Amino acid sequence: MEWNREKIRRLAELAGFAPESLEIDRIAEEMTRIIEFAHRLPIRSETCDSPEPSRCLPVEKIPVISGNQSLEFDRDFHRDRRDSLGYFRTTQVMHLESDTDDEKDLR
Amino acid sequence: MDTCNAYISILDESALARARWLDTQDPSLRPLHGIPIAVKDNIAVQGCRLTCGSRMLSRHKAPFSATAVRRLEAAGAVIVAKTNMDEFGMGSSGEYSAFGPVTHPVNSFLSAGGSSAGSAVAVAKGDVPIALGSDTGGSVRQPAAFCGIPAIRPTYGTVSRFGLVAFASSMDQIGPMTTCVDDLKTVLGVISGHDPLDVTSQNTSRRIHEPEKLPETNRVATVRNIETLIREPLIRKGMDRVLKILAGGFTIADPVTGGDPEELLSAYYVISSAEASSNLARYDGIRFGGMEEKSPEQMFSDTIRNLRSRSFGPEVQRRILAGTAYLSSGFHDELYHRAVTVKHHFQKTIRDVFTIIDLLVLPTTPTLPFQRGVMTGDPVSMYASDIFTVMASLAGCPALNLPVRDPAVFPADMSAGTVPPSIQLIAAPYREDLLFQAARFLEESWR
Repeated sequence: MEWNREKIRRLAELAGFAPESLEIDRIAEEMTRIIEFAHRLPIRSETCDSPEPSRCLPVEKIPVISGNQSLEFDRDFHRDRRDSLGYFRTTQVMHLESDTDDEKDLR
Repeated sequence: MDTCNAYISILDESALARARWLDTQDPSLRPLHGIPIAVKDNIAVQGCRLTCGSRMLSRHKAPFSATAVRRLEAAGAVIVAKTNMDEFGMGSSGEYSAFGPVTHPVNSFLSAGGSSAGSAVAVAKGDVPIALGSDTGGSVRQPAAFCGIPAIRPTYGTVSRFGLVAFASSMDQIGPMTTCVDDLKTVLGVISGHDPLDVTSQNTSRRIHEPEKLPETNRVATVRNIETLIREPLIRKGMDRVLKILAGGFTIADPVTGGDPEELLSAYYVISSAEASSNLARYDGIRFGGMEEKSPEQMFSDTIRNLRSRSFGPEVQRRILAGTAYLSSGFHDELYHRAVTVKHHFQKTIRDVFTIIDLLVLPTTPTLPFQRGVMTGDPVSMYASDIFTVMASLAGCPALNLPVRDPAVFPADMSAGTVPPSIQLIAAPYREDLLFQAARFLEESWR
């Protein structure tokens, strides 16, 4: 898949960068190679068709990043993916930043 | 003198003050009394800079110490330096630091590996006998291999991650680097154990301190079909020699079938980049310092975007962009979900493997230290140098790097300007005791 300038600009904005500050052409070339590299993952194989249950804690016990996250997409990531990530933890986040009341409650 | 650019901060005043205080204490009370230790600059030491090798955090000071650091200090250690590293742990060559590249301790044209490059160099040069690194996909083991020292990535959960700046939280783990296997065991015994400040930490110190027995029945194997991935004949020779020596005390089993190393490498980079893009979203250039000028006329979000664009280096930008792409609706099922599935499947495979055998032997790296500068323009080639280390990271298993200092592989006349090849021992989760047993057996055989 070719990553053109416009696509990289949109991705950069989503990732919290200023597109005009980045070397868009270089990044487009690199992203094409990196996404190709990621596509070495098996498409449909025994590996992908026999998923193991994730080692997750009950969802209500997993703290959700809130309040201090600066980008909206990031919060959505945590809410949507906490069960598939399973044991993803946010300990460092909470200790590098001041806790919100929500986080204190969850702990 | 820091000829290899291994350090970001030298803690001379606090270290001397602590050493003076220790001089007044009974040395028999603490296992690491007075021992100088260097700590990777993504691990918090209270009151010291915590830069993660990044311009983004160049002015940030840690308001508290990491649990691993507090445990070292309680054991009598003196933290003397914070070591240089690839920015936020992203890199395998020690060249992606905002504070300049780390160079190899015996040949300045070579890479010291990464990302814990400064820690490995500090030990290899003999500046300190012990250093702490952090390992997400091989960042303790690969630089240890490139610098010719032992190091261990403990089981995920063995060492508290409290105070370790997150890169990919589901795989990050602190690990020690030393000059011999016994020291690895001592340091791991000190820093391991449950910590209420890290919910993933486990109480595993009993395993590490268990008395060792002669490993007569332990079964050792390598992974089938990895020969073609080893690009250096000396590493192949080191592997063959290690298996031959282990046959003197262990049962050598047939090679086992693990996951496809190339698929696992892709899965690792998809998952770690996705987690990194999330973890690093908090760095807006304001809360942790780094902001050089205020732009009141600009929109707040524009200011943050500009600061992020200026303050993150190229590799971190690449990983954040890739991670954001993997988590976007277009790629989530196609790549991210698939990568997580591969990881879970591999964890099951590894559990099955460790019902048949006790230890896996693999090379740590496919090559000996490569030349500085040759990989920085080609990120995907750089990623390939992690092909043997990401397995233990994905599986959450402990893995120990050991340089093969056997005279049959690395005679004394070879030692100028290079280092011996390294191998990696991998065991089931929480079986660090088996790693120490086998590593010591090997070490003693070529002593």
